Amino acid sequence: MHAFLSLLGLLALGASSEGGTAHAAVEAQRCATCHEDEVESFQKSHHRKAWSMKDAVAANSCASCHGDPMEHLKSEGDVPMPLKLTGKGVDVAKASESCLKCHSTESSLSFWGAGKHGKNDVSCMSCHTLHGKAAVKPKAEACFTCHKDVKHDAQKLSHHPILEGKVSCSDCHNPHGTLNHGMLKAESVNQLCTKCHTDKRGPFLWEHAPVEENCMSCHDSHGSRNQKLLVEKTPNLCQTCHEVSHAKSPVGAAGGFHNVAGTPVNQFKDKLVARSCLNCHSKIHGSFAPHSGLATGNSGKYFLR
Amino acid sequence: MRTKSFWSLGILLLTSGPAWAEAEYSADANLGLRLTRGEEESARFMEYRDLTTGVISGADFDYFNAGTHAAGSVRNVGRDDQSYLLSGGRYYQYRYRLGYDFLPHNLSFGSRTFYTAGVGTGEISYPTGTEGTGFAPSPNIIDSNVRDVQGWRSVEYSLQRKKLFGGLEVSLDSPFFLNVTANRTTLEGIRPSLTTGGIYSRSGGLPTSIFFEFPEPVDQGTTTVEVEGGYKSGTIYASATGELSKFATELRFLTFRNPFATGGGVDLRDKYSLSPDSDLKRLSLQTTVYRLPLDSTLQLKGSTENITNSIVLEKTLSMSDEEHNEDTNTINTVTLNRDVFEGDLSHKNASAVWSARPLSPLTMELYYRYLIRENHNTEILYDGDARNPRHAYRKNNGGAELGYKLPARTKLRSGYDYAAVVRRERIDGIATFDKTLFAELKNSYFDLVGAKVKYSYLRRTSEFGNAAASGLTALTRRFDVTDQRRNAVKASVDVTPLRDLDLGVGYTWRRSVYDKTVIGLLDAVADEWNFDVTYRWPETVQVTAFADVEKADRRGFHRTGSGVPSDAESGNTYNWQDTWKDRNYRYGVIVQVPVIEQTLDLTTSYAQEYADGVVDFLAPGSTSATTPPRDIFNMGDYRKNILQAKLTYQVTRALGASLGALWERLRSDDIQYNNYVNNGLAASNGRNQFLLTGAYKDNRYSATTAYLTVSYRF
Repeated sequence: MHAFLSLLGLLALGASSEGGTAHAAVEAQRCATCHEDEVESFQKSHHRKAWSMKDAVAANSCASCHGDPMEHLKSEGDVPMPLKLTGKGVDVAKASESCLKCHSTESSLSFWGAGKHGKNDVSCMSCHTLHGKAAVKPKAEACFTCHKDVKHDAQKLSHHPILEGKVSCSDCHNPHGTLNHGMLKAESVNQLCTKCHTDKRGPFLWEHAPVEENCMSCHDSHGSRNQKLLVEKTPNLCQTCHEVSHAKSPVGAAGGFHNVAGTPVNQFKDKLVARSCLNCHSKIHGSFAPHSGLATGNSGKYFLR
Repeated sequence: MRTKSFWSLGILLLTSGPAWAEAEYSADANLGLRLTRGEEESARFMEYRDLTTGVISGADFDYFNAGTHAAGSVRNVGRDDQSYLLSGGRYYQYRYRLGYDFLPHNLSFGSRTFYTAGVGTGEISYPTGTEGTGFAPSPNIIDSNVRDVQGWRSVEYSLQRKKLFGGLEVSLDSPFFLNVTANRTTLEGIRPSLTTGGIYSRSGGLPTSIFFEFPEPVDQGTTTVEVEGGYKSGTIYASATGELSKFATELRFLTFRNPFATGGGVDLRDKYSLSPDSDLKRLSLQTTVYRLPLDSTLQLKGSTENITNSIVLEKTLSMSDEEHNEDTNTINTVTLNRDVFEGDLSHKNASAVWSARPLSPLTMELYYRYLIRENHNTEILYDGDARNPRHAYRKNNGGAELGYKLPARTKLRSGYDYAAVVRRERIDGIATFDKTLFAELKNSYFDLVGAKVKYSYLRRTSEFGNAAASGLTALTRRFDVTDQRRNAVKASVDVTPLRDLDLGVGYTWRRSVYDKTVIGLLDAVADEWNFDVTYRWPETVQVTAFADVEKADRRGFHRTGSGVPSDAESGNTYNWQDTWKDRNYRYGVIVQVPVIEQTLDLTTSYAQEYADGVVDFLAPGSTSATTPPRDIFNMGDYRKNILQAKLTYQVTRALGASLGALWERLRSDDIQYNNYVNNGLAASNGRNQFLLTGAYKDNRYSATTAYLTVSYRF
């Protein structure tokens, strides 16, 4: 195959005898002698297609990204290319710089400098492939390579459909950087969550304080062992704040979560069964039910209806 | 088009110039059959996917011709998780994107409800059977059709989200650009909901601690349009974005026949409030200025967002006042100062980040963010006293970061962050002040090793307004706004000791101490290890093994009864504490075998996920101590096993086939759902009565699915 390609390269050189096009063809052909798969996959890339409109040389010149190949060629591969873009030992700053030469003016990259990835020397090639049809590696897998704890969370029983391919990390985070904490795509957590969960954005008549300020007080968006992505199981999650409301809980009498002191917990006699506090306070994100001093048991104020 | 010689042909075409005008295209399609057993057992198995028995299909295509490109994909045609995407454009000129995505959310299968009429609509009811006398909470008054579970109907709790979206980005190879996106998302289906059984506005003593579950209809839609226009060059980027979003629901209330409101010959229809309609408007301006002195960049953003709605308020949630007046009790309606609630929430933000590289090895960053949530909701007074809270807050956040490149490809970063949040309506947390320090060291001196370690420390102080309150209120601190000291460490090492061997270890540790808390969450500590190792035998087998181990403990202190002990500051006088211990494990192995190179590939994997929850009760003090209940050893325990195998066979360059199989098993041991019953009316004391439908109890399944697909490349 290599011999065939070399022959083809010579034919190509002969077919176009002047200008950069010939030079580019020779260069790519020579690269393919050793890097056949890489050159072939590059042909399928958006880079090659886009550059072909403006600069046919660049479209077929490995040097566009990898630098001047002369020393590499002279040494028959012993001297590495000036710019290594992938694998161990990459100079991340230089590698990303080569991309930003063209891409820095894209709106999605306008806050690259403020993003954590830029500051933490994450190279563009950690997530993107310069060659091949797909410009981005499989989304969640690319992120999970580094964010292993998040990968673990995403596989817990309660999770967003990330692994199912219906939600991607980039739905919530801009990996190229934002001016917000966590590279979130909104100025606050709540503004972000309610982009999809629009039924939770209110405005509600009866507001629940932590709901209005930060969804993450109760939910772990990456995944949880608890129902509804809760950071902790009910009733404990609620109880850590609402000691006064159910003062006898959990070791109280009939009103408690566990009503028989010193005996095994019986969830049916307690308020532990099913969704616990949420069995009654189901409108925890907000309510429009009226409030009556005579009928507080069904009040919107307490998120009951 | 897909041969290895394609590129060579490309070069030939390149050199011949005009031949570039020829189109490049490729397409492939696959069709197959899926067989599944056991899927009816649990919605968990198919929570976000459709793995039912039937035909499966998909297709992709790519097209390119003289700068114009297009691509499309179709997945799972006709299934609940089907998706369609078309994208394309002309390089440097414009791009477009159009898609339709279906996302199922199966919540619970096999549930049963006594509501046999109108399920899925805005009014649910059940036929009258034999009705007892008296009033709730006596379980004897409940209608026979409600008491008899055998007569209940089945209901599947499932939601279907459908998103139709599109976008267009136009730049026309100029510094100016215009981006337009729009989407319409609908959410339909039935989800489980619960409420108390008490009769709204009934005078006299109300039944408490009784509740029932019912199928809540969901029929919502959100339409969003966003437009961004701006200018970009090598020295400046600037744009303005506007967004309009409208959320509308077909139902404002669910009307239901209340099983606990019977008696005295009266059936009462109650209502349950659903999500309100709302309109969102948003405007933002953002700019980045590059190439400033000290090799610096300035990034600025400002935004304002406003959400509004207008809701006519209810004075009672009972539907049949007149009918109910025949009862010996009377309906009470509330008095309101206004009949209409005008919701009006705003978020306003300003952010600025200045990042510089004054010296080659030195980077620095200064930032400031301001966020204010304004709440101009209508103030409503119920019966002249109860007032709706209108939560608002203001947040100032600023900080600085320094990064320095040390010898041996080592980088040190350190920073300080300050955040102050001032709240309205939260006397338990009028304000919080966070000071955070962090330092991070990263090294990649050896090509074979990459290591990183980060330490951060948060000190949160708060302004607590309940110190002079009566009872336990003065002692109870809420974890989201109270004083806190948090230490955290995060480290990772990735090693490639051999060319074909990769090792990775990640570790996180975090401990939060709520040092002003007497009653409430006292401390929380969590640590997690993540291991993975991959070995590749040259051109034969690749094996990856992984393990995740996570431990989380949270300790709380509580009081039995509402009285405050005389020596309130001593923890020993309180009655008991609990420690919630969560343990999560996941481990497994993935094996990839190229049986015949580039022709026959086999991938198999096995994983087990295990969660173990314990609640440890203690009564550390003797004074007034109550014997705590026995520890709970099955607080949300579960074990999930996943075994997968996939065989792909490339018969020819065009024709291929895939054979795959998946076996999953979930076993759950959760005290909250063990020994589950639908009808819990037998409580003799009139409390803790319930009628449940079975939602979320089906956390047990064993299911197998296999598929065979044939694909063809054109």
